[in-house]
Amino acid sequence: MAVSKQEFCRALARALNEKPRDITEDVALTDVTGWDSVGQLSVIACIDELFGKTVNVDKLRSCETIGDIIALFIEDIQ
Amino acid sequence: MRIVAIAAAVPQGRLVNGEFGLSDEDRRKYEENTGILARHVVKDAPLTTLDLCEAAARSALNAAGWGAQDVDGVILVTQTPEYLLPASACILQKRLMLGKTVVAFDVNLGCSGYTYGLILAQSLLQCGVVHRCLLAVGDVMSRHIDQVGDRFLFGDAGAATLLDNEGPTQVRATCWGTDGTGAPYLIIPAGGQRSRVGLTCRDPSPPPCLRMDGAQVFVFALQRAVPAVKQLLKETGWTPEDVTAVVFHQASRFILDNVARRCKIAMERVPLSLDHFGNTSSASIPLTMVVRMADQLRTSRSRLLLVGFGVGWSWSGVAIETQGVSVAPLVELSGTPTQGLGHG
Repeated sequence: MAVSKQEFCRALARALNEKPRDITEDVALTDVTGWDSVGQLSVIACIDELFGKTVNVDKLRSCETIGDIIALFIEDIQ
Repeated sequence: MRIVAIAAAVPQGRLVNGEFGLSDEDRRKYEENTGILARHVVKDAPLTTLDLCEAAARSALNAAGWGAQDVDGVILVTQTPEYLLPASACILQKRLMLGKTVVAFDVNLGCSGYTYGLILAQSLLQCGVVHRCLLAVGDVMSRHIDQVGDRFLFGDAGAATLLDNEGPTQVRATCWGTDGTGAPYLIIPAGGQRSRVGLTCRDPSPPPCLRMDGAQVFVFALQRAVPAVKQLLKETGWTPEDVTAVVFHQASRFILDNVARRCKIAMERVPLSLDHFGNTSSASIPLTMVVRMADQLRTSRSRLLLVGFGVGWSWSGVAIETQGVSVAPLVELSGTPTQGLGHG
C-alpha cells in the first residue's frame, strides 16, 4: 500500500515520539531528540508496518535528515 | 519424541531496574521497550550455568520419577560453559551420577539453543542411539555484560527437559537455519582462539563482554522468526487460533510484539516471562513454559509453537503437541550445590 510523504512523516513522528510539525524533510536527525537507539527500533517497526519491508540498518544509520529516510523508500511513497 | 518433564532454575539474586542509576524517564523508556522489570542474576554468588542446569535436571528427574540410570543421553546447550574444556555435559554426567554408557555433549548455541536441542534429541531418539534424553540449556550472561542498556536485558537461568520415545511422536514440524553474517552483531569477541583476551595464564583482564547491535537483532528477528512461525503453521496445517501458545525466545517485548503482529498471532497466545526474568538466552523458552504454562502443560493437550532465534545468526522452531507434562516448580538457588569439578 502506497502512502503519501505527509503520512510517512506523521508515522515517523509517532515512532520518534515527536510532534508532527517537528518532523519534516529538511530536519537534521541530530536535532531529533527521539532519534536514539530506541527511536531507531521504532522507525524500523514503523517502516515494516507501513511498507512490509525490513530496513537495511546500515543505510538507515547513514541518514542525516528525515529527507534521507524518505529517499530510502521513495518508490513506496506516492 | 515426547516431553516427559520440564524444570527450570534461577539464581536467588534479583536485580530491579532502579538499581541501574538511570533517570526515571530513561528507565521508563527501557521498561516500555523491553518489557523487563527485573531479572535473576548470580551477582557475587559462586553459581555457574552448570549449577543451574544441574539443579533443574535434579528437579526434572524428581518430577518424572526417573532415576539417574534411566538417562542415556545428555545434550547441554550453553555459551557460558564451566570450562573451555572438558565439555560441561561430561561434568553433569558425573554430578548426576548418570551411567557411563551415556551419550553426552555440549552444543554452543544461545537463543536458538532450546529448539535446536529438541531437534537434536529427536534425531538421537528416532535413530535409537538414545532412549531417554536429558536436554539441559542455560546461560549466565550477567558476568559478560558491561553496558547499562544490555544489563537491562539479560537474566541468568538453567532449564532441563526430559524426553523419551514412548508412544507416537508429539513433534509435528521442525525448522531451522543459520546465517553467519550476523556474527558481529551479537558477540563476545574474545575468550577464544581469534582474540585470546582472558585466555592466557597471566592475563589479568576481566571476563570479555557482550557486544550487541539491537537494531540488527530486531531486523534479523523480523526476517527469520516470522517465516519460521509461518513455516511451522503451514507444515502442521494449524491456524494461529488452533495454537495453544507460541513460546518465543524472550528477546524483548518490543521484538516479540512486532514478530507476533507480523505472524498475526494474538499476544494472548504469546506467554512472556521476560518481565521478571529478562532475556535468559537458551533457557528462556523452557523457563517461560515452567513459570507461565505449568497448569496448562500438566493438565491439557497443548499445541505449542516453540521458536528460538538470535546469536549466530541462528534460528529454529518446533511444533509439538504435548499432554500430561510433569512440570516442576521453579528452583531458586542461593549458593552452589557442587563447586568446580564436583569431587567427592
